[in-house]
Amino acid sequence: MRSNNLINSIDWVLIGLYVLLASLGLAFVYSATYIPEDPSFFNFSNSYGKQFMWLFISLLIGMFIIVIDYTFYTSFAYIIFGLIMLLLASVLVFGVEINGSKSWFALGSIRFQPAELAKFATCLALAKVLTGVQVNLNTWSGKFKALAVLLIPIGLILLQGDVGSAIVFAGLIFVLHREGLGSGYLIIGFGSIFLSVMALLYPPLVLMFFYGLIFSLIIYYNRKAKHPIIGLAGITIGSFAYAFIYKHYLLSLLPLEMFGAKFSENILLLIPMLLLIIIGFFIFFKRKKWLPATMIIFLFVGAYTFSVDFMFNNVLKQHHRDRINLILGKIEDHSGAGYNLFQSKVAIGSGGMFGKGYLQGAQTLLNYVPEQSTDFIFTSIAEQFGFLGSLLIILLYVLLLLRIIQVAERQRSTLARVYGYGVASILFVHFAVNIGMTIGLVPVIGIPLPFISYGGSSLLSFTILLFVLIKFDTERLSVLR
Amino acid sequence: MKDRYKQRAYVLGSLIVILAIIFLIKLFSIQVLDRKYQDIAQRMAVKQIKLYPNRGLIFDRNNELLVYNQAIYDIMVIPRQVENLDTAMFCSIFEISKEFFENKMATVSKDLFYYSPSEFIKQVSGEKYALFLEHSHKFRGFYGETRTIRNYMQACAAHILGDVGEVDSVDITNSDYYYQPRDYAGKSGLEKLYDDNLRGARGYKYVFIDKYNKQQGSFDEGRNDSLPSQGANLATTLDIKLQAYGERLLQNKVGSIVAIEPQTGEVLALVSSPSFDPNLLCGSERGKNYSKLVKNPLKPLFNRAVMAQYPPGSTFKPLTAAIALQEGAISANYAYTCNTLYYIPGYTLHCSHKHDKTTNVQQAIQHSCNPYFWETFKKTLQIGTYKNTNESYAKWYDYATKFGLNSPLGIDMLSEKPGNIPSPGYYNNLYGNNGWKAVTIISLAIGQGELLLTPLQLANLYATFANRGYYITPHLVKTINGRPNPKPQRQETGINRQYFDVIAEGLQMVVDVGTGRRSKIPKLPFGGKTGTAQNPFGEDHSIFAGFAPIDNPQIAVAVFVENAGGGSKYAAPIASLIAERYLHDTIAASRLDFEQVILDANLTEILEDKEGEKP
Repeated sequence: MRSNNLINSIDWVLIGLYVLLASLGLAFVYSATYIPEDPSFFNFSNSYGKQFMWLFISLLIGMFIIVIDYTFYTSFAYIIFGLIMLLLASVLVFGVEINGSKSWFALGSIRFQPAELAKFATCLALAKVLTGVQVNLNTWSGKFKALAVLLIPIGLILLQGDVGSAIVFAGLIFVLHREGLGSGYLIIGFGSIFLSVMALLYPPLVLMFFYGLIFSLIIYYNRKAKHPIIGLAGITIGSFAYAFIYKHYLLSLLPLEMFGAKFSENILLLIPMLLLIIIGFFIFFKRKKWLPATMIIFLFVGAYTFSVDFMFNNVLKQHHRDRINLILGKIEDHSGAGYNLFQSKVAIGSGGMFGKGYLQGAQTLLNYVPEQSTDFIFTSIAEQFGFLGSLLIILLYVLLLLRIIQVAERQRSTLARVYGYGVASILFVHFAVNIGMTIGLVPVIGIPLPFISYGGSSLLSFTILLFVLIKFDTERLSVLR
Repeated sequence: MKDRYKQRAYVLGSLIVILAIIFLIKLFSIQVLDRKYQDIAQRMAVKQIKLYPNRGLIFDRNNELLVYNQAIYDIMVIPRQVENLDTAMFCSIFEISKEFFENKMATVSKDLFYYSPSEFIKQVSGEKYALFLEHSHKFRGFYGETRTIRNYMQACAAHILGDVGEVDSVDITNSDYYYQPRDYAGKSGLEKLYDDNLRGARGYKYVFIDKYNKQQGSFDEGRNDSLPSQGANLATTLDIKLQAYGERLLQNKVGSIVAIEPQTGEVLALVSSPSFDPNLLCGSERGKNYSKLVKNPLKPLFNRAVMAQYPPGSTFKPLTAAIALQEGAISANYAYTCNTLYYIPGYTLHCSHKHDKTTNVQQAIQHSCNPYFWETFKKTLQIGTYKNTNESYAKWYDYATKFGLNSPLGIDMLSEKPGNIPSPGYYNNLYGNNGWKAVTIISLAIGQGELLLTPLQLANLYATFANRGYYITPHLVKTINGRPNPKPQRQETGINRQYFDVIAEGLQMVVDVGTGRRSKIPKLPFGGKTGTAQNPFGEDHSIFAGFAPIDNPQIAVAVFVENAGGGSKYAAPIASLIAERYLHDTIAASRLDFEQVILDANLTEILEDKEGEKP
């Protein structure tokens, strides 16, 4: 009754989500490449037909993955990794260049991108490395080994000129973190991105006020506050009062040109703001032990914010500033670099609450949105099905990702768990970057939406990635360690 | 191995949830809260296509077609879509140089223009366009747009018909934004004045366009579409044969002919010479030709018939007589012995020539006797009815203005000039109240002094004589789409009919036995008056005005020929030929040599030479 066992041990939630996303993907690819004059379904020369074929192949391979013994992946992890790294290297020699990156093999009309498979191979190899007895991510050698597995594919893919795919591998930092890499790395990494973006988006005055409140809250939650509400109110009112005085009186009174207008303005803002907050901390928060560390971090945050602001305004050139402002949405450009984003937002925005209906998306049908069957497929979904459609797709991804984490966490073997985390991290980065770029939250980076975007190698690779995890999961009870 | 980091599962998990929430907030804001994207999408994907109506046609009084439409093509480009262009072939089809191509391409590719259609070559002929279409696959990114321009059947009446050209910002504002850039509108003449009638109404079609600017079916199943409605046809009052003949008569001369049908005020011909071929201002050469015409020293664009103002000279004398008769200053049989001299305090004036004694008004007109009209004018102003000269001149001035003098007549032409009759106030300013008397302004009597008339005003004055006391506002458009143009109005002068019979008789005597006898038309009772306007800059201007037939006038005509000498020399012969041609349809055999002399006369050589001498 082994086969019965197998069927019972398969995670049907994952399979169900996969089938749902892939079928929806097929329907969306059909709508994104739909030509009213030629509505044929089964034509293997058009995108829809090809995608249908690839889904069929993917399902076959998925079944095959589940049927063969799992030890194949664990034993041959490095060999698979090595072979695919060879493919990555050889694509540099034999590949064809498409859209500026030389990352495709072409066999007649069929094209294949080995970087997609490299995601699977790297996850597997990383899992294998981290399973090693001596490997501890708190040691330098452990970090080095893990990093090596990541840097080989990243380097090769960057050589191909495919920055988007390379960024995906950066998502594997979540795996390392989960397996013991110090939280500091994650916090510093995300923290500096967050602070930079905020510094570019908002004036330092507003930010410092905002950060001040956040730090106050942090200290408050150490539960030693005496009069937290009065403290917060004091800081708030004081800040606003100062901002008012500053804007209406100080600016005209002080000789700003003495140190350069911008510098003087910042100093005028910063010093009283800091004083206010420090006084606030000292008066209203009792647990003095936390104060030095918090204050140092706060000062660091402030300095970082102001230096980003200073760099942006004084070091960067205008065209750099324009590009950054474009990504941040502070300026809108409807033609040059901003064309894709603008068209994408127009199509999504025009979908409204309920969408225009299947095959009724004018912006999609009229080909305004670039790459609308591949990287920008979310755009045509959002146009046809509106906010509710977007909500459904995002919910499906959240469910899938959370389920993968859940499945990863229930693995007894480190290898399976690490691998599962790898799958979750990679799908997460794809989800975050792909949807984020269509609505202007993330710079435009051309990577597909997993299981939905048109593209054989991407669908096949994501299928392999997921089904190997499903296979590992079927064996979780029989694995000891 | 103990899993020390189990808690960290929540890091990625919560990041996923937080990000999903951020996405949903953003999506909610652009899809549900912000309506602007719906508008943008609509504007982007739905294009309004203007359907241009055919501009109304223009006919002459005998239903002969004067102006019609011709299809031409503007070659447009969307630079973003240009690829694999066969530049050499493109240049050879449109006969442009490679430099022109490259410069133009650079201009239309600037900034945002790179993505939108721009005009590349204007007004390409049908043949070139057919060639372009044949090879259009080599010119991706280029396409043609159909436009219509005007064409003129005959190379005449340029000043009247006017022209059609691309609108400028002023036209757009004046049209209350009906016109949009690149539209064509009437720029001068009837084309401009009757633009509202001629242009018709645009239709609109709303279609989906894809990002390649290709049409992809109609929007909202065509519910918002409308058809264009064709512009109204104009039937003008012109007799195009007469107009063309008039232009021929004035060829190589500077001057003007205005012919009016007196009973109706319909303008039969309105010639301003030198003129030009109206076809010069159509099509792609328009700009070049226009600047050539502007630079021409003889000012062919200047419509002398309504814009030039001349002293009318002796042609004014019949009006002096008519006012005097009406006021009772003289009777028709008033006799005056002219011994060629006329004395006023301080001066001695001369009659222009020796002639027999004048025993009545008719003879005075026939002989164009200056002293007779001076005396008549003096009597008119010194008549006892009024308190003083000032008041009696005011009455005289009032009569003159009733003949349409001193203000534009209101013909349907742009920039019509008012001419000039000095008002009593003018003289008061000049000489002080009561500082002037009849003799001060005596030169008005014979059409000199400050008097100025346009050729149209002079023709209208004689049409009024022909009508024996009234005129219909002269006009050029008879019907608009078959409906009468309601503008013409009957204007009374307040002078009795009988006095005009006296004048008509005198005018006929001028042609039969007087100063205009060379211009007598066989078998046609023709009357008129010669005139000479002294010209301080050169030879006198030759003037004639008259009408025919005397008892049932069909045509009133005024002729000015600049620098041509006395009125009998050119103006009278030309007027007689116009009248004969109009009423008899042909020139009598006995007058063909006479006609030939006029046609051959070239009075512009001297002027052109003079221009040439200038540095």
